[in-house]
Amino acid sequence: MKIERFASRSQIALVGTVLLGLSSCDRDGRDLLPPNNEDYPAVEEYGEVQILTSAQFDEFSAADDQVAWCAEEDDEGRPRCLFPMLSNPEAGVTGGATFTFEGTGSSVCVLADPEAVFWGLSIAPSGRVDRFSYPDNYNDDGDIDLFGGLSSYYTGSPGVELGDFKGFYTDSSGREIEIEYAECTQTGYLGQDDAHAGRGTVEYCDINTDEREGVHYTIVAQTFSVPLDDGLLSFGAMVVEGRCSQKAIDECTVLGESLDEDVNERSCSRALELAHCNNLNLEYCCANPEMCGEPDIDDDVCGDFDRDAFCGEHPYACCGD
Amino acid sequence: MPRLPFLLRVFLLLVVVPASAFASVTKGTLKGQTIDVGGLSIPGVLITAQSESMMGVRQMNTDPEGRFYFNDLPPGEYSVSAEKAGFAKVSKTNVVLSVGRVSNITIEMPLATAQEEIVVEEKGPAVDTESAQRGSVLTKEFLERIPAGRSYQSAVQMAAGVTGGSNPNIGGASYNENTYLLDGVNITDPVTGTFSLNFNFDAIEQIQVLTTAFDPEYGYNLGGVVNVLTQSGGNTLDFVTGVYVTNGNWSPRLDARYASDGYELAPTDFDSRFELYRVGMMVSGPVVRDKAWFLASYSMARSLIANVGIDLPRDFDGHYMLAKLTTQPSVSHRFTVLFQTDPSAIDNLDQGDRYVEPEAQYRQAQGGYFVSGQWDWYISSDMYLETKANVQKSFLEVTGVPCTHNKEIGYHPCQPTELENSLDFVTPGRYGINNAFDSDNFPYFVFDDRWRFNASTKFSWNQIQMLGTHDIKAGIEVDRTLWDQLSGYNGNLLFYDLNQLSYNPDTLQNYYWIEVTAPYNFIATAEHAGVFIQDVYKPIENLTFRYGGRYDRQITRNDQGDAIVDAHLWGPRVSVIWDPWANQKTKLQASFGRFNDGGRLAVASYMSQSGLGQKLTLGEYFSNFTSDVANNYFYVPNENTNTIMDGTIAPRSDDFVVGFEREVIQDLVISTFFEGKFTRYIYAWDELNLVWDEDGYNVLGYSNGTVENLYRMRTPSIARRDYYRLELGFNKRSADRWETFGNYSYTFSRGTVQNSPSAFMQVPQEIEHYVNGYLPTDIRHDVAVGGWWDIPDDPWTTSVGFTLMLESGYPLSRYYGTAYYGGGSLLKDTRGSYARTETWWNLNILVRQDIPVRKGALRATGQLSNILNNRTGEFAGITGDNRWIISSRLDPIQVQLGGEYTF
Amino acid sequence: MHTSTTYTLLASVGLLLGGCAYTEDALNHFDFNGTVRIPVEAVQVEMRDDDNETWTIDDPRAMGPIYMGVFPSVVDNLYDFSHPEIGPVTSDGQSGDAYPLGGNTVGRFEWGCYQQLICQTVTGRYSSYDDVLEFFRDEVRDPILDTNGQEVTSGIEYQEQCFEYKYATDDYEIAFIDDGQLDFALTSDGQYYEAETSIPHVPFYEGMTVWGWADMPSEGFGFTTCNSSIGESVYYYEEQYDVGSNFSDVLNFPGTYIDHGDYVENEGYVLTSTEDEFVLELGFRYED
Repeated sequence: MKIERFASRSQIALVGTVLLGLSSCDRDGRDLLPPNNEDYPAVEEYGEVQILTSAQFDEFSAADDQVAWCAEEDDEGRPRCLFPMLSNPEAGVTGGATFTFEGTGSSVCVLADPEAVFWGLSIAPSGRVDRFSYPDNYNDDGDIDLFGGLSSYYTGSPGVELGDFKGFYTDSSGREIEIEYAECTQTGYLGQDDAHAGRGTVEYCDINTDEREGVHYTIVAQTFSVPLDDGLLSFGAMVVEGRCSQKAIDECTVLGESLDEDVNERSCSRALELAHCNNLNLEYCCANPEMCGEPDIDDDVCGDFDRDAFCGEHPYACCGD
Repeated sequence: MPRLPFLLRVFLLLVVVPASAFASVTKGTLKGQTIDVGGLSIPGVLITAQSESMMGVRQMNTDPEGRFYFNDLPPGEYSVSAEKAGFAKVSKTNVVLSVGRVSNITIEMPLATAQEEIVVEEKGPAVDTESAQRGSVLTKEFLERIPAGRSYQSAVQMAAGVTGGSNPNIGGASYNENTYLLDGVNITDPVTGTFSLNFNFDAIEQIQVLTTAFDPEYGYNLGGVVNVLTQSGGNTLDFVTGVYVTNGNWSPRLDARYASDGYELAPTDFDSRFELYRVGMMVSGPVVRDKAWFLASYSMARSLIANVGIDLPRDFDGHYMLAKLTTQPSVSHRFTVLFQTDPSAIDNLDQGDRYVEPEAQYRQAQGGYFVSGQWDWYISSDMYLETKANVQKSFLEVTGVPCTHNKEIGYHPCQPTELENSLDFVTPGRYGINNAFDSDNFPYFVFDDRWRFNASTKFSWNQIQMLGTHDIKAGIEVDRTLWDQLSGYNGNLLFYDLNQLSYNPDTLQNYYWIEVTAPYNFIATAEHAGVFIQDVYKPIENLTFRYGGRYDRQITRNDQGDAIVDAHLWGPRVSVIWDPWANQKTKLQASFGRFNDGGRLAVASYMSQSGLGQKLTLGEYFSNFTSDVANNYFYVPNENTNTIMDGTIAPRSDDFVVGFEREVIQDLVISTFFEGKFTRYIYAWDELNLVWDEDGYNVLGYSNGTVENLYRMRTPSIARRDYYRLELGFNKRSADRWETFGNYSYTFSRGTVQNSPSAFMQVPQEIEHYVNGYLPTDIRHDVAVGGWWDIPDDPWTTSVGFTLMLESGYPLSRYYGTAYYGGGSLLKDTRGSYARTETWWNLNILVRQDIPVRKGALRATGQLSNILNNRTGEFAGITGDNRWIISSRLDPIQVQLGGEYTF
Repeated sequence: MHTSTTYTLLASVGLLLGGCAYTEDALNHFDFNGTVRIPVEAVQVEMRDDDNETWTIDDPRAMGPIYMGVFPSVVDNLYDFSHPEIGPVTSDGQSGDAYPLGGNTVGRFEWGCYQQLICQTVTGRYSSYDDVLEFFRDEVRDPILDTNGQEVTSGIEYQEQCFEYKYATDDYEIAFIDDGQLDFALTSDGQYYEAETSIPHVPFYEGMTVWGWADMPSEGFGFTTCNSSIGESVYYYEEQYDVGSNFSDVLNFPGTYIDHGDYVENEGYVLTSTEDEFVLELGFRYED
């Protein structure tokens, strides 16, 4: 073997090795994540909303088109309530919507219901149906966490960056201690003050505006997670007079909050909520198995379920036809 | 060679050196003296040194005392010839030069006779009476003849003062406090502080393991230094290829378990799966004779190892490639470019849980590449400048096991709509409480990139005469490391309570789940600059002072760019070495050194300001769970509220060594050394907000009035280790066809914390009496013995090698749940019984035969490993009832058969 | 040549010496040592049983934990006893927070191995199992009963119970048994029980004040600072309960935990330097 000839081959081999090594089967993983939807903001300010009376709240609950009902503005241009649509913020940054209301001098109830797109934890009751027990779905619901307090304590820049309601107290030694001025606190199962509802689940809190009539409050509806199917989270939000405990607030309060990219209601999601509100979870899943994450549902669960008969009787709980 | 003007020398020392950078040691020193038969020195003798490791030759004339000196030669086997008119030419062969060591030879030149040249095989002195560093240099010749496991990580276990596994504890330090060098360049993982590259074992020329008392140029770490030097090729074309197959399947493994209170759990036998396949090839030779050489090597390692009770073996598949090009356009300049890559993948990584389901397994892909360039400038016979620059990237990906459509080979089949090799981001991960049962999909993913950019220069100026002889070295190093990590969960994470009898995997009763926000991206960086200066001062021939120091500044930043650690590190080192009889048979040594820890990028990650949000949601396990909103609540803060260390003393260890070496009979050296190492200010978490009771058992209040946890990194003085080691050793160097070594260490290791950064100190570390106790490196008795023998008068050159290791057990501490954490978090408490694990010992044997064939040689090796091995892994666990358990696993006896062809 | 070498060597030595002098400790956290005293009469505890029979325990073993905190200042206009200054009230019906800078206890609640002893045994008060048995039998007049309702009379039986329930193998692991190393000693003048203590790891602000109180038992030998529904959980066949521990905000809201019979520091010890050794004298008996 001639050394020179071998050497030139080895040089080629060397270059090849270098190229191979540089590629190193390497990647940073970002290609595996859904892209953000750039058509919608991740942080948005929605201005001031009206405070609904109890009668208006009942009217809202019964409305066929809640989105349109909410869009009605009063003389001062304030909508009755909101159906915001938000995109996913960058990793490590909080996103969400802010809106304000004026204190009434008594308690008000703030509520937000993030979209329930598919069968998920948000509507799975304790006695769930066997097999339709997927606790989560890739295209699952989003999650909104509510915070609220006096606008004067709010540290964020509305529409630009979310903030909080923290202030400072200086003790006699000069130490500065952070004080939480948020008033929309919710108590968790184990008694925690800073609790928030789980994914897809309606969240609400009371704010006592006693002696603060006319004073502005800011509500922060922070996106804890945004559904991955379209990278968008829609939700309904409102402020109602009186305490939350005096009202019937559940998944059946706000319907049709699942909106698609073109702000059209997802019919199957409304059907899902309506079926849930009418205690027809099993039937809904047998009628619309793809909405329950189990397209290959077997007969053990649904037996001789007659979809046509069911849908004839409960048309609101069927979709996709 | 031209002599440089004085001003240029000063310029080089003071300006060029700081402006470029310092590098670690890759060279050795060859020196000696020429004498006549009467013992009188002969000046003006032309000395020529040459080696396969070095292109061309190095020449110099002996000084008026007949002395010669070649500094900074690449390690390897040299021949040295001496010529002067009127004297016979004398050549010394087999002069072995080891990295970081001084080979001192004497050449006796008779008057000229008819015989033109006298060739003498050189053995050199057995005791290096000028160097102070403690540790071992493992040469290629040695590593090939002993059962070293064909990995440098296992080879370093031979050195005295090294314990632990493939990430060793050196000198009582934590496994993440060592420095790993490749050809003198730092390749330590910037995040974990462990080794970050794998090599083809055949490409290794020498492994230098330094435990303490090393010169400032080696660095500033608290542990040891592992310096791997690769081969460079030579003027002859060499080709080596080999196949090694290891199997331990036939040997069952024992899982013996007993609990802290003596309660014995039934020992169990498990079939073992242990298979290892290695294929390697290496080619080296000249590109242009005496001007340019190359070396290229590739090796593949595949292993299938299943732990007890796991059906799916851990499947490791690694490819190691190394290419090196060395050019020497003139005798004064040498340029080396090295490229190394080691992409690997490990499937079925979860071998710790007996009940792991195949779908819940996960994969780790890892590897990276390393490119370095080096310029050696032999400025004059007494000056040398070494300049290096390198880039290293490592990556680590942890994901679920990719799916496959091939149902025959796949246990994780793709969904119909999924592409081959897709990762399952659809199915939520599920975990059983108490890790009793892992099923479904592996829930996490991590994509991790680590970078290191490094430049360094080192300048040596030797043989300076001023009240004796000085060899001065100075250098500077700058580097920047970066860690970019993306991590997250595949959907939400489910937990099942498997202690409840009503658990039904089909209906998913008794569970809770964690909801998470978007994936979390984190970037940490560190900047480091270091400068050192050191002098080897010999006032008289048999007395050596090595002294110097280094200063390092390291700033570690979190993802916000905040400086988490801003460490100023100063490390003075002083050694005195005395050869009382000036015959290079005895060495008395005393050394002091201060070593430092500048922190790792993992420190910054902990102090990150933005975190992954989580919510815990309770499932049916909680009896009054309903779908009502009020019960669907739980909250974990979705951002960390950590604060930055506002001042610190960086971790440091003050290390003292005294001892002696003595060549008692020809080629046999015995040694005794005593080492004391006092490490202080180790990194520890610090919780700022909680006020604890006197035993650190429960919380009394919150300084800032809320329950949030505020962590800070600091280095409390109570975070400390005291380490003492008495070492007895012997070394019969390679001569007369055999070599053997052995060392015994008696160790005493006590302190409050072993690891850096320490995790358990995050509980109330301010309560001093909590954690003071024996540390895991308190392995009282530690023996490593090895050797080889080339059977004489054997045409096939049969060599037999062995290693025998023994480590007495290490201490186990008892852990408690605190009242504050509801038993959920553990803390170490000296209130508690204290036990040690069993003594471990292990014998390995290697038989090697070189069979000459046409144009080369065939080599066959057979290795029997783990003969008389009573464990390889031992761990302590906590049962639900706060017992701890010791589990022993008997690793299988392994047979390795290998074949190599060389020409 | 020689000159340059000399400079080099001098520079090396200078660097070396400079390095040895280098220090970097800028942490503003200190450990404060001190003494806690409680008058001997404090350990006289009025007891009353279910039949309304009353008696007095006069025994230092009756002392609950002593809570000490370092606060910005101590004021006397908030409660009927001195109390640390408090921050703004942010929630209806809740006191302002005292924001402790640091703290410690002398003795802490440690479950005494029998369910009956939840929130009743404190570390540093007993020297042996028999000591505990004797105290509850003769002083508290509530003998310790085993799980079968039988009185425990033997220290060995008690030890076995503890080893069983706490998975211990040595008395050293049983924190409320302290062989000869009791927290308090009687002063030479016989006026006080005194204990050496320290408050670790406190940021220093000049003028900050050490203050504390002793949680003394109620008539039924209960302690207000102990929460019986937290702490480690016992799962032993049919038995399932929590063993109790102190509320975790006792230094944030001390005023809400101090009740009748507790002994409180009069005015607090003001720390003026990081070297100060504090003396706490819990001389004020609070009476409802």
